[in-house]
Amino acid sequence: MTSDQGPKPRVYQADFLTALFREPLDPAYAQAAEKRRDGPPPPRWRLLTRKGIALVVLVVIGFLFAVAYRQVARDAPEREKVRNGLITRINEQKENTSRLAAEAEGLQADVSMLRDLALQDPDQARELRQLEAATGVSKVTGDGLVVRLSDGPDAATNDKAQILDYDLQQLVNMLWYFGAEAISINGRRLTSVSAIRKGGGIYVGDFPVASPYEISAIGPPDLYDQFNKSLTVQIYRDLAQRPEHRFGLKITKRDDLVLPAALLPELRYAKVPGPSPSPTPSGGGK
Amino acid sequence: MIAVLALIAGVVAGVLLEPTVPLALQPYLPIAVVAALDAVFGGIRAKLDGIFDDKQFVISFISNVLVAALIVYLGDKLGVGPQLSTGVVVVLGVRIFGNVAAIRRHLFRA
Repeated sequence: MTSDQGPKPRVYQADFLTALFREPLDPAYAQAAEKRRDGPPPPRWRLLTRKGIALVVLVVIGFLFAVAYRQVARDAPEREKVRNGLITRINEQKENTSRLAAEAEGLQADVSMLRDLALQDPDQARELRQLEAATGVSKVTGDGLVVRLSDGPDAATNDKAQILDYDLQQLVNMLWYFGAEAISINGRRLTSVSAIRKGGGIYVGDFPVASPYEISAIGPPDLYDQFNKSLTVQIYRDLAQRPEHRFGLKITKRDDLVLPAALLPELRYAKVPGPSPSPTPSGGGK
Repeated sequence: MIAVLALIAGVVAGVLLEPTVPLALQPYLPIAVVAALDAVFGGIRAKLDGIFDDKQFVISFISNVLVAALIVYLGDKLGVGPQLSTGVVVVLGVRIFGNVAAIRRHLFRA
């Protein structure tokens, strides 16, 4: 074995790793054994002292193991706690957000009602509501269609199976083209200022959306047929079937769609020019 | 046998005393454990080979821990702490594996 082949002078090989794999034991052990065999045995008290020190070292090692184990065991729940805390906070914030959104919607309804009262002229009130619906700042309902786009099953590894902002843009543009009056993506209503863009995921306006994407559109009765027959949709259908893409595309006709109101940014720089042709009463134009 | 008892005594002491590791020493703890494991398995293997030596064992443990700690310390100062720690763990890990394989051959003749 190892004891009888040990070379006399300790040789340091250049190829350290090979030596390490071949002979993992510290060569000093073999050397010490050899010395012991050759020379006279050391005095008994020295042997005993050495034994004692070795035992102390063993106690220290055991201590070290226990301490390290305790350390790891203590850190684990700590990490878990931090993680759970984060999850709780995320959920809280989500709830908070939806509560605030509901509140905003309620307030919006109040504002519209009060404004209608203030306006007095029912024609003007109706026109205003019509404009609001068209620009996206109020909730609308109507018949239309839902386009469901989803990343392919291997989207994580295959770029071509991922839905891009461009795809959503194309389909939304086609919907506008065929007369859609209100469109939302994953519950985010599109307005004249909401972009569909890429930013570490896809953003609709300022909100991130994720696959599956659901484009809901309210439009004329022939919207579904026109859209379905359009070249763009045919191309997408064809692409969705191909093995290298294989993303999900489903277009369904849907009645009584409800599209939420969008958050419109406050206008700070753009102003209505001159005296407007129809005099706006206080509160209406702001 | 006494050696095993000493090891167990150390573990018991560690559990009972509940020491807290100072923050400054915490990065060295895993490395120290690996170095200690290397010393222990080296010692067991030497014992089975019949060439165990108390002095050698003590020196190998202390130098292992010190050198490993020094390397980690230097690595931290140089900004390559994780890489050097990996290096230490790999080298000591290889030795532990080799020694455990030798111990296995001794015990099971396989």
